[in-house]
Amino acid sequence: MTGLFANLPPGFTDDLLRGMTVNFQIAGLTLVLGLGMGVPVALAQLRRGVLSFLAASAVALMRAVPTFLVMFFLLYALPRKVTLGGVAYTPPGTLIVAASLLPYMAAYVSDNVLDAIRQWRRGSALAALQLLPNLTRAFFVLVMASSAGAAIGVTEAITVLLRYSGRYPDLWDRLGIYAVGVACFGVTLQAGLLVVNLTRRALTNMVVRRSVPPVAPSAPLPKGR
Amino acid sequence: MGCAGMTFRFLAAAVLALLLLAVPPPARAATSPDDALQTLLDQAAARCSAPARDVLAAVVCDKRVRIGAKTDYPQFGFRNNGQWTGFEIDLARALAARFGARAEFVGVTGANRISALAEGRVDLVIATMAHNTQRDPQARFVRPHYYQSETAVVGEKDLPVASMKDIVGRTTCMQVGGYETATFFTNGARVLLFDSPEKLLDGLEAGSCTLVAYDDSFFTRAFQNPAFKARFAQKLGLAPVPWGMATPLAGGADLARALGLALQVFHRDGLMLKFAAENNISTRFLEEQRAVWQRPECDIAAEGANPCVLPPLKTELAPTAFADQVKAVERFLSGLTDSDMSLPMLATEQAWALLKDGIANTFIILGGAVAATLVFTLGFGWLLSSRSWLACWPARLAVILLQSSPLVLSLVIAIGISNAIAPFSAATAMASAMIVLGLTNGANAGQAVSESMATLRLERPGGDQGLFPLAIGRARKQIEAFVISASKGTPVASFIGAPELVNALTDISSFSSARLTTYLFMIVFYVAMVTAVTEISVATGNHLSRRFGRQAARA
Repeated sequence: MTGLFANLPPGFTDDLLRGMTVNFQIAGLTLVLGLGMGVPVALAQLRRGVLSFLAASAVALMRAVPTFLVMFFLLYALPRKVTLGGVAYTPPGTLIVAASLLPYMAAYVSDNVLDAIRQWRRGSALAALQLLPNLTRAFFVLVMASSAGAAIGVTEAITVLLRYSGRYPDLWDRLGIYAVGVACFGVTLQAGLLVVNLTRRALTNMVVRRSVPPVAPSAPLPKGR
Repeated sequence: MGCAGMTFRFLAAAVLALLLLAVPPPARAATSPDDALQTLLDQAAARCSAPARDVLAAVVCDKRVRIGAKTDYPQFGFRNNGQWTGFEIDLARALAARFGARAEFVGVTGANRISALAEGRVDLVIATMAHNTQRDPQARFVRPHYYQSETAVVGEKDLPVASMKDIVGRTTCMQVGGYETATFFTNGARVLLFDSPEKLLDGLEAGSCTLVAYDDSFFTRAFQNPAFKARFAQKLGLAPVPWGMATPLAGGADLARALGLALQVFHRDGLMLKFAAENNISTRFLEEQRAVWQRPECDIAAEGANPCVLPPLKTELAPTAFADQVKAVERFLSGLTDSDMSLPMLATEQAWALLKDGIANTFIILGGAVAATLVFTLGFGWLLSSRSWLACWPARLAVILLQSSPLVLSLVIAIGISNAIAPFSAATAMASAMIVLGLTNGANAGQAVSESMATLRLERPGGDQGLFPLAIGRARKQIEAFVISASKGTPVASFIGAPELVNALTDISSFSSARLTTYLFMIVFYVAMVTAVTEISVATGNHLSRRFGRQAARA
């Protein structure tokens, strides 16, 4: 491992940053798609009868589906080419990964939006506004989870780490490369958590300044992945 | 030199010549493939006026042979602007010429080449077709084989890969459905699957794949690119597969025999090597075959199968004892859904064995991961709650590290360390997966326990005695969530070669085209498993909560 950090392989830093960008792209895309799918499901759960039951069942199912399997299913079991408006289109790997994270994200958005609406109706504006930091946190969890793309050859950060580490026969050298990756993801996650806390604090201050009555504690946040 | 000496030499040469003439000719003259082929062709010509002609007679009499060939396989069978080129095309033309016929090419694909024969659209197929025992009942394969391919493992030139032992932990890209997927899984490669061979080359050049494994004939063209050749090399070759041309089962026997004899002659005389060299393809197999067919014991027109021909690749799949019932269910499902539904994982013994092993291993990983999560939850919870900074701070650092590493990366690190300690095996991969899932989820759940402990200390400042079980009870929702997360994470173990259900079904897909039902089965299985874990976790949590609640009330 001697000199590894002083002399990282040429192109490694650039490739790793480009890989991290792909992780962010996948997370952003999943967040947008998750909002598009999760919000209607949450609204459906507010109604009564069959629609509510169906929406709740869909959320339970989406929670139970492992992301990794959805990715394989989309990639290997379904036709790769889709026809949109008469034009054949092959979805890129990043879209496949985003689609595979979608069930988890849609269920998470649905749970949080539902909770936020209920808190709002109870008059707990601050608790309702926790939706924003919760979504921010989910975004950073998605950045981590998007590394599953390495299993289907998407050139994200983990793929870059595996590519460069494969050049070193010595375990300690490979661990050195992995450590750089852990540091990159760690800094990203910690920065994300800082943003979450700052957002939460800002929202609390805003609500307190507007003299909103004391509110109920916020919904528990997800931990880790 | 005197005149007498010259006379003596002349006489000696004359005697020797007479002696040589007196020796009977070698056996080849009577049974040579050349003569046997000519006899067959003459006999076929004699049948021109027969009311029902077999395929050979039709070829000889009509002076036309319809040949099914690939249109998209450069250097073997390729059509561009109506021009046919490639090794198989040259071979087909030479065979047609030997039969006194004109070659008429018909484009075929891997999916329709055998049906083209059965439906009489072509007389002969020469289309990169592997000869295996599964195909024998569908077409009449000609032997000797005209080519042989193998699974080539290609990687960067300076990559130290000399045997299958060296592929442990290396990202190896293959096409989904490839025959050799299982071999790479069991040897500890990190297998990535792609849906087309072209993407393998893209992955190799982009660095997503450390190695790619595919049919060596596919790489022939790539290695003609100087830049590719300068950077990459074939590291290993495995699982050779003979290629055979085929004639129709009905009426194609004489044509197959004639083609077999012609191929013997072509191999023996080096014609096959010439075609290969002209098309820049590997000649290793053809050189071996030339040596074989030059041997006197092989260079004969044997009445039955020539003992020098190679056997086909054995790929028969034995049906399961309940294969008939499976077929009935498939028919029912197909009728119900109005689409082709098959259950390959239940139809053959090989697939059924893979499925059973995959399910058993998945349950082992699941049990281990859940147990490890609970153990690490207690461990991290206790350490993080400790008032001693010597216990608390290392645990905090470990939690931050575990939270900062994506699960896939943690698995790669764990299997790397494991491989440095012990040789790769299914057991080490499964153990690594269990420990990583346990550590990752246990660290988060342990953090939740320590946070609960902190709130309890504020509420009950009297001391820590008896608080830890209460903290666990208070954090039970989080613990449940991370136990469920561990169960959802078990399929990721496939990434490091653990032989669980995902890898088992991927192996099954290598000898079945029914991927939709295979992967659908996988999703249904895992959803059912995660749902069961969720229910059990919630029920156990409720039970423990009631118990600890009563204890707390008594306290």
